Amino acid sequence: MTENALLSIRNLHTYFFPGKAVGRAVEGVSFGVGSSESVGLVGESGCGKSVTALSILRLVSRPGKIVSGEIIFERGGKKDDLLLLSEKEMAKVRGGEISMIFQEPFTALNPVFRVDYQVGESAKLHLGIYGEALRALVLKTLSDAGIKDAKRVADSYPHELSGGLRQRVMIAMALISGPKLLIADEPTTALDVTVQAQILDLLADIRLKRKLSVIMVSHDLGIIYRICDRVNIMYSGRIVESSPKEALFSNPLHPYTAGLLKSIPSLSKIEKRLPAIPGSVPDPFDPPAGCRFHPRCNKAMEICKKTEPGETVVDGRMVKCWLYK
Amino acid sequence: MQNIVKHFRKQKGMFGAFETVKAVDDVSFSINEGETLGLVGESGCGKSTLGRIIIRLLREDSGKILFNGKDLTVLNFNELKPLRRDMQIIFQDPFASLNPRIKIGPAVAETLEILGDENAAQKADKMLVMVGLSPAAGLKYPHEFSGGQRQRICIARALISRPKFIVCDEPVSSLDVSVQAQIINLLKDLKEGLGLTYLFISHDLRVVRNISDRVAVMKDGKVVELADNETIYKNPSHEYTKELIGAVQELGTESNI
Repeated sequence: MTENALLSIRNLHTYFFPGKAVGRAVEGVSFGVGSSESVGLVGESGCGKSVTALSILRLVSRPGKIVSGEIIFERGGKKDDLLLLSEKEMAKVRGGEISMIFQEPFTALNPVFRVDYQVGESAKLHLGIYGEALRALVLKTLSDAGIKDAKRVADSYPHELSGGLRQRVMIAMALISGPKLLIADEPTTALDVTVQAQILDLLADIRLKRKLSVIMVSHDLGIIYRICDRVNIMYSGRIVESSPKEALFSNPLHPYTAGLLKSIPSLSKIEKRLPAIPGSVPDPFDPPAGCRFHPRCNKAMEICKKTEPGETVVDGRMVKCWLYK
Repeated sequence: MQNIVKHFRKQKGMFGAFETVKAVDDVSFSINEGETLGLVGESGCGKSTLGRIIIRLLREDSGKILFNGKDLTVLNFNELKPLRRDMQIIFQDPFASLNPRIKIGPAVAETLEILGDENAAQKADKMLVMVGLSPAAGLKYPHEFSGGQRQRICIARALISRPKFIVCDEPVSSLDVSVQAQIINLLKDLKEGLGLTYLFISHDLRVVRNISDRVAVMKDGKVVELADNETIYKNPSHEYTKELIGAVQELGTESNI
C-alpha cells in the first residue's frame, strides 16, 4: 500500500443488519490508490466489491452500515478521513472530487430530464457555473466522453439513446466537475462486447488526459486486465490477493485466483474439460470457519479449516493464505 | 435416423411504434445430429428470438423448420405435443425459470407427468443425481439453492423426457465465473452421455468457443457467417465476425496456456 496514496482504505468493515442476522459484506478491507493509478477490485457475487465501492462515498443504505475503518483521501493538500466528514462536506466530495459510474446507465439516468440538465447538475453544484458557460462545459465534456454529436445528445432524453451512448453520458456526468478519482462499478457489464471495447478505450484515454485515478470494480477479468495497473481479488468480504496486473495473471498466488483464471475458457484453444472450482461462493450471513475459501480449495490444510490466514507479503505482493506463511 | 436435424427459412417481424423490426430476417441453416451449433451475436441480433421460434414458443411469420424430416411449422398444438418431448430449452435466468412455489422434485418431474409417465418421480430423482445434486434436493424449494444449482435443476428438468435436441439460451450468462465452468462441463458430459444435439445461444464468445463444433454469427436478424469453430475464431471471413472476436480481451495468461 503506497504511503503517498490519493486514497487509502484501512481496515474497512461494512455489515448488513436485516433483523437479527449479520451479513459481514466487507471485513477488514485495506488498499490504496495512487495518483493516476488504476486499481481493480475483482470478485464474484457476494464478495463485497460493490459494497466496498459504495462505502468509499458513504452511499451504503440501511440495513447496511459502515461499522469501522478509515478512508483517507487527499483533499486540498491535506488528508481527510472521509468517514469522519460531515454530510455537508461529503456532498462536496461526491461528484466533485470522487465520482462514480454504475452498471446500468438506464437506471442511473433520470428519465424525465434531458441529458444537458443531468450532466450540468454536477457542475452547477460543484463549480457554481450557469447559463452559457455551463452549456459550453456540458458540450465539451460530452465530446470528451467520445460523443460525436454532442448537441443532439445534450438535447435528448435518456430513452432516446443507445446503451453505449447512455454510458458515455454517465461518464460525462462523472467527469464534468473534474474529479481526481473515478469509481467504476461494472460499467460495461450491461453492454455488448463491441461497445464494451469502445468504452474501455475511452476510459483509458480519459485517464491519461485528465491524470485520473480509477477504481474498477468487476467480475470480468478481461476488463481488469485491459484497464488496471494493480488488482485486488476479493472473496467473501476480504482481499485475498493484491498484485500488479502482469504478476497476477502470469503467476497467481492465491488458490482462488489461480482457480478463477484457469476456469475461464480460453479463446486460443479448446479445453475438453474446464478446470472448475467446485462448490459456490459463501453466504455472507453464514460463512465457513477458518479461511473462507477452504471448502473449495484443493490445497486446504488442517489449519485452513480453523484459523483465518493473515497477510503475507511475497515479492511486493500481498496474499492471505496459509500456503505462504 | 436422418442426419440433418433441422433446416429452416424464416422471417419474423415484431412491431415497434410505427415500424417493423425484423427480428429474424430470412435465416436458413441446419443443425446436424450430435453436434453443438453455437449461435453468437450481440443484443438485439435475433438469436434468442430464433431459439424460441425453433422450440415453438414463438411463431414465425414465414418459413419452415424441419425436425427429423417433419415440418414443425405446419403442425397444430396436438400434433406438436409428442414432438415436444424430443426438444427442450434451458433459459438464462435460473431464478425466473423455476416456480418458487413448487418443490424441485415435482418441478423436474412435471414434463413426464404431463406425458402420462407413472414413474415420473423416480426418474426425477435419477435426473437430479445426473446433474450433480442429491435426490434430497427434490424436497426443497428453489430459493434454497444457489444460481448454479438452480441451473442444474433446470437442466435436469429439460432432460427428463430424454429429448434429442436442446436449445440452450444463454445458460451460463447469469452465473458466477467460477460456476460457469462447472455448468459448461456438465452440459458437455450430458451431451456425450445422452447423445444430445445442442443449439447453444450466447453473447459470450469464450464460452461458445469452448463448447461448439460449428458457430453461426448473427447480426440484425441475419446469419452473416457460419463455419466450424476453428475457422470462426482463427480465420474469420466476415468483417463483423472479425470485429466481435477482436473485441474480446486476451488475458495475459492466454499465451501461456
